[in-house]
Amino acid sequence: MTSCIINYYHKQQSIVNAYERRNLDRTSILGTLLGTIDKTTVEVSNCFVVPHSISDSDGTVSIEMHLADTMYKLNKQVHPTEVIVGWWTTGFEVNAIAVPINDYYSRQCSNPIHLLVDTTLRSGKLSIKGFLQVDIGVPDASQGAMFSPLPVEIIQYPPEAVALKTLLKTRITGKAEMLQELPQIAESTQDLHDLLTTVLQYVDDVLNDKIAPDNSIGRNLLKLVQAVPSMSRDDLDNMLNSQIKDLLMSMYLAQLSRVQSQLNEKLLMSSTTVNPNN
Amino acid sequence: MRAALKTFPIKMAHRAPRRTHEFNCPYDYVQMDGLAVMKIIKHCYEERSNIDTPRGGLLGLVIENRLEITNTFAFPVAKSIEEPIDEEYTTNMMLHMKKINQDYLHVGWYQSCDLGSFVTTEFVLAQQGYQDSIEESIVVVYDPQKTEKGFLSLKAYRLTPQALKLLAENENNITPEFVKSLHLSYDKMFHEVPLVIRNSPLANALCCQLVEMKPADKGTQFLDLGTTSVMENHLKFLLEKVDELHQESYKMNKWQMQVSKQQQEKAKYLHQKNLENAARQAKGEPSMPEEDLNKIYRPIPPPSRLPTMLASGQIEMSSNQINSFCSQALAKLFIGEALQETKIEQ
Repeated sequence: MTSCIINYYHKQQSIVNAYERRNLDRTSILGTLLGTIDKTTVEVSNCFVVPHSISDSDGTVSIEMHLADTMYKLNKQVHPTEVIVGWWTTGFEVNAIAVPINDYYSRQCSNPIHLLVDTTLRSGKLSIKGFLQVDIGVPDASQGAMFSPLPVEIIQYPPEAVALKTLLKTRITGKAEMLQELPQIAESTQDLHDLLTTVLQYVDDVLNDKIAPDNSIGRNLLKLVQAVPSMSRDDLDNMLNSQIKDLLMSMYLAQLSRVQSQLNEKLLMSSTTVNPNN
Repeated sequence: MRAALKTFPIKMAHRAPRRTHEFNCPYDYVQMDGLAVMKIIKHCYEERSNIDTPRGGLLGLVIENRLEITNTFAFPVAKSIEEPIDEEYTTNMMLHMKKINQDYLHVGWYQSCDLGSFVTTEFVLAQQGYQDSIEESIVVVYDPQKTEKGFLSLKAYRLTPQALKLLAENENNITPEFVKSLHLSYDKMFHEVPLVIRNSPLANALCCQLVEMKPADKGTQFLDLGTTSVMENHLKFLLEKVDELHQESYKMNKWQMQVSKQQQEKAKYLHQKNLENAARQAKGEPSMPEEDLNKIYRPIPPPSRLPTMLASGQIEMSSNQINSFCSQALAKLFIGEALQETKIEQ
């Protein structure tokens, strides 16, 4: 029985992207979720869009199963461990078409999970909710289905966390350029400086009785100051010097190799007796 | 010490706009969607233990002065290295993309290479194939190790027109003279195109939400002071490449010696023939028929210059990487020193 859904950030981006590219006459889109099932947790690692249409006359939903199958097979070639674990749709509440689609997906896998991504930003947030279909009703009488909510967690791979740091800059300027290493360090030093200024301002305000002191913040500040390891002057000097020497030596060797290969190239270009045959 | 920190020149971004006509590049910069970036990272992370170099295709469009990459898909692992990328898979994938309203034009490919070690013959030949069939194709190189250390590393490259001319020649004809006639040196083989990342407004909304959810201490590995393991890997790789270069230059020297020895033998043979002819003429007999010297002493073909150029190119890139890594490591050490000094003074 699934109890938790784990999501990956990039999968959400796919959903958002697919929503933006939908046909103009649709208000919501749906697709398949791929991933792995691990005892009580479902890990969703990939997804793709499946075009669907709702007929006006009787409200039946039809999805292009052929496309869904093809895409699943193509994906299997690249990621053989991913299986269908459920389906997703955009919108802010579960509606009636969910049941037949869930039926279709329950034929593909057992206990399909249903993910609802609110791209219309109704609640002011891009909320992601997970559901599982549960049969309710009186047996032998009226039966129905209810979608019971499941907790959803979003995690990232370590390199994704690094990429996010750069990607998140787009929210301010619309574009993000990847920085070389040294400017990145410079930028984060500036950030650190700003953070420290804020902290110092807070401490000054407390000392001048402008803000009431808060013990927990004080404890955290103490932890912060003690996080810098205490070493004697000599130890520090030794450590720094040896590291600096190593780094400079590597830089020197690298530059040397570069210069040597450049020299080789120059000599080759200017020499006229390379081929003694002529 | 200060001079060492300045050795890394950031000249790529300035070079591209002024000289696009020289590099025959139809656009000034590459714009990648955040989605494409994340998919590349995900694919390379998941497949890092199964295959050496995860590869995939890029989908997008050329608009105005930029190439927009809006989606990517992974290539299935080729059964043998010789076999080209699965055509059927690619066409199926693109048909599908068309149906779901995604961009379906194949504009290039991406590859993941540790330590930026992508300057190999198969890489160069693959990119040549792409640029021949699709004019605006580009290759994006992703360095997973560097990204894991905390610096997102995605670079976009194209082959220069001279490099294309070079590769169009048969392998055996890449002689030093040919290379000289093209004015091609190893650092002019690739042309780096600046890369920016962009997100749509809705995706930006998603970003804002994630910023709140993300714990502040994730993604700060780049502030780590430990540098030995990375330096070791870099230097080992540099050593390998320098060894390769050494081997190639040894081959070249050997060839030169062989050719000069052959010349000497030819001269000796001619000399002997002339003596004989002179002797025969003295006796009044007809001289011996002329023989084609080339049949007896076949000219030995020179070794191809391509591996040398690729090895030199790789050395140049590795040295640049080492430089930039060392410069930021030095910066971090100085920051650490400043923090430590204030502690000691207390």
